Amino acid sequence: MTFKTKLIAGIAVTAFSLMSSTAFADNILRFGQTATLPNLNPYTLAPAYGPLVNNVFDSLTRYDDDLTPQPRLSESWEFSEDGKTLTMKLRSGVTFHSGRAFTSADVKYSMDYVTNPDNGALISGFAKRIVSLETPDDLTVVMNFETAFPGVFDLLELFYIIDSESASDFSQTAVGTGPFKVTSHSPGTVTAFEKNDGYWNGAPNLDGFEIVVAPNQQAGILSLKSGDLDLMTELGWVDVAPFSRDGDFVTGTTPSGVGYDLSLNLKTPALQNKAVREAIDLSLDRKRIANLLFGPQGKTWCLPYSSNSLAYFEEYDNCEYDLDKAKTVLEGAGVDLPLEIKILTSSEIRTQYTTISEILQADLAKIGINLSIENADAVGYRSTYVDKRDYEIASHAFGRAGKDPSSLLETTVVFRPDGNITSYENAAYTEAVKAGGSTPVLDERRAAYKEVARIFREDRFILPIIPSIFLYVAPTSVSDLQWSADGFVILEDAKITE
Amino acid sequence: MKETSLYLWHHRGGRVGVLLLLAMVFVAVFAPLIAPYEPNAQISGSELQGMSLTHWFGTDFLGRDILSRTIYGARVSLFAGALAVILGAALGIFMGITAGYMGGWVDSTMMRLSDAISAFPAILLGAAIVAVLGPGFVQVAIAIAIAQSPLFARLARALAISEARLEYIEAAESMGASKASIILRHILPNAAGPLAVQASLSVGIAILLEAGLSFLGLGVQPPTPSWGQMLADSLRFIDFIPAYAIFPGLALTVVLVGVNLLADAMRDRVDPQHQNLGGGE
Repeated sequence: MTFKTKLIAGIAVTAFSLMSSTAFADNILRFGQTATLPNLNPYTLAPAYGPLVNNVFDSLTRYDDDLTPQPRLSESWEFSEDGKTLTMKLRSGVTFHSGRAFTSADVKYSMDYVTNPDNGALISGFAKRIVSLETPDDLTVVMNFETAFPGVFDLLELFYIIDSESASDFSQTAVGTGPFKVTSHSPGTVTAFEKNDGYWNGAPNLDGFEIVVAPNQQAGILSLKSGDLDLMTELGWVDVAPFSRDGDFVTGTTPSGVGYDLSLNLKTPALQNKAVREAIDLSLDRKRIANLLFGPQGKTWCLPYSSNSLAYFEEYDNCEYDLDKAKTVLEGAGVDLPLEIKILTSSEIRTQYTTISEILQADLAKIGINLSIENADAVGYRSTYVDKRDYEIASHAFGRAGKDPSSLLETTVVFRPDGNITSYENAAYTEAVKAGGSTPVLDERRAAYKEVARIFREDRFILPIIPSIFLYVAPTSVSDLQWSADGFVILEDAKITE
Repeated sequence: MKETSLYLWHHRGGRVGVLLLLAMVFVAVFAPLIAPYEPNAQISGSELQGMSLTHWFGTDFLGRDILSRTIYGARVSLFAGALAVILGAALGIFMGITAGYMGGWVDSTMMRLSDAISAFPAILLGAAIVAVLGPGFVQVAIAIAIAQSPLFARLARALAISEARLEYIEAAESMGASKASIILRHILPNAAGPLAVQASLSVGIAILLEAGLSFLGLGVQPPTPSWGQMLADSLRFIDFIPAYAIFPGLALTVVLVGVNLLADAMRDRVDPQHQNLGGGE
C-alpha cells in the first residue's frame, strides 16, 4: 500500500468515525444502512426511507401484527353500508413539530400532494381510488370511492400526514407529527433526529436517533460489532449468522412486504409460447434459491401471497422443480432448441437478482435454453424494465406483498391488469382482479381471487419465487423495537439500556 | 530479439517474471484440461464448502469450484490486460508520434486531449467509460485502453521529437518520403524499445484495473469467472471460507509480480543507466 493509499484509507476511516461521533452519546440509537437518503420526502418510499417514515410522520391508521388496522391519527372510522364511503374521526390535541395543530385540512393537503403527479408519490395511483375527500369539520374526514375499496387500509398505512407549511421542500428537513423531529440532514452521511417531547402518544424513550450511511454492508457490520452502530436491517442470513451465536447481540426477522419474481415479457416471441413459460417455471429451483438467500428461514412462493392471505389457494400452490418434465414439455410442444433468451438483472439494486439469474441460467442450460445475463446498473435496469419494457425476462422484486391482495394486484407493475409490465392482457384476469378489489363481501372476494390464482398458474406471465425476509441485528442493549407491515422500523417505544 | 530474450533469461528478476507469466499463460490456455470442474457448474448442496480433497480451494455461494473458477479467471485477466494494452498502445502511440513529428496545432490538440484524459484517475475514468458503454469484457478493455493511452502518447511524442531531429529523418524527407512513411518506417521502429518497456509496465496496471472494475461489478458479467468479481463475491463469506478471497487474490498477485519483474528487466535492458544496477548476471 502506498503512502497515498494509506492516507486516503486513513481519511476515509476518520471521516466515518467522525460521522459516528455521537455514537457514544447516551440514549441515541444509531441505525446503519448502505442506501443514502437524497431527501426526506416520505412518499418516495424506497427502502432507504424505512427508518424515516414512521418515526417523523404519522399515518391515519397502522396495521398490527395480525394486519388489523389500528388507530393512529384517526381515532375511529366507519364505512357506509355500500362500502363506498369511509368516515374517519381524527385525534384531537395532535401538533406538528412546528407546534401547529393538526386538523382535517392537513389530511386534505396531504391527499392533494400525493395525487399531484408532479410530486412523484409512489402511492399516487392507489390514492386515486379515493375520488373525493371532504372535511366537514376540523376533526372529520370523509373519503368517497367509486366502488367499495377493501384495500383502503393498505393505502392509509403509507399515507403519511405532512405539514402544509413545509412540504414544498423536503431537501433538508421534514415536519410531521411523529415521535422524532429532524435536527440535521447530510445526504450520504448522517441524518439526525431528536425526540418530540410533545408527541401525542407520549415522548419516546430515546433522546434521539441517527440514520448513518455506511460505505458498504461489510463496513456497517463491522461498525455493529464495534458498537458504533446499534441496528441494521435487510441483512443476508450469512451476515446475521455470526451475530446469532454472539450473546451480545439479538437477531430477528421483520415483515418485508417484498417478494421476488421473474417477469416474462410476452412481447418476446419465444415467451409467447406457453410451453416455454411452463418449462422455465419447472426449471426454477425455488427451494434452493430460498435456502441460499435466506437460509433455513427461507420460504418459497408459487402464488404471490402467504398461506394466511384470503387470496391464497392451496390447490394452486403447486410449483414443481423438475428438469426432466421441463424438457418433456419443450419437446412435446416442438420447440426448436437451443433457445436463446436474455435475463435482465441488477446487482446494484439487489445482489439477489443476479443470484437468482445465475441459478436459473445453470438449470435452463440443462434443458436447452441458453440464458444470457444482462447485469445493468440501477438506472439502466429501471430504464429497460419500467420505461422501455425492452427486456425478455427480468429478475425483479415487488412490494405490497402480504397485505390486502387488492393492493398488490391493482398497483404493482407486475400484477396490475392495465398496462402490465409483461404486456399480459386477459379480460378474465382484469375482471377477476377488479371484482376482488371492489366488494367488501369476503366470499365474493375469495371467489374472485381463486380465479386470479388459477390464471396465474395457467398463464405463468409472472413467476413468483420467494418472499423476502428482512433480517436485523442489534446489540442486546437495544429493546422494544417495532416494525410496520412493510418492515419499516418504529422507534417510538425503543430503549437502550446499559 | 534473440539478444533481448537472452538478456531477460539471464536477468534474475526477468527470469522469475518470465517463468511466472509463462505458468499463468499455460494455466489460462489449458484451463479446460487443468480445471477439475466446469467453472460455472453449480453443485446443489455443496455451497460454501471449505478446502477439501474434492474441492481443493472450496466452493462458492452457488456451489461452484473455486479452484476451477480461479484457473478460468486467468483467461479474463490476461486477455483483458493484453487487449487493453494493445488498444491503448495503438491509440497512444498514434497520438504521440503524430503530435511529436507534425508539431504545431496537431501537437497541441493531441497533447491537450491526452492531458484531459490524464486528469482523471484511471479507475474513475474506466468506471465512467464503462457506465457509458455498458459492462462487459470488451467494454472494460476499451475503457482501460483509453485510460492508459496518455502514457504511451507522452512517451511516443518525446521519442518522435528526438528522432525527428536526427539526420536520417532529414535524409528521408529530402528523398521525398511521405510523412506516413517516415513515421511508420523510420520513427516507430527506433522508438520501439522504450515503448515495449512501457507496454510491459502497462500490462500490470491494466490487469489490476480490470480486477478493480470487475470488483465493482463493471467487468465481465456473470457467470464468467474473473478474479476481481470473485474477490467482490467473497467479501460476505470471508469469515466462513477464507479461501474464497485468498486464491483469486493470490493469483492476481502472482501475475502482477511476474509482469512487474519482467517490466523491470526490460527497462534494465533498454536503459543503460539501469543496466549496471539491474541485477543482470
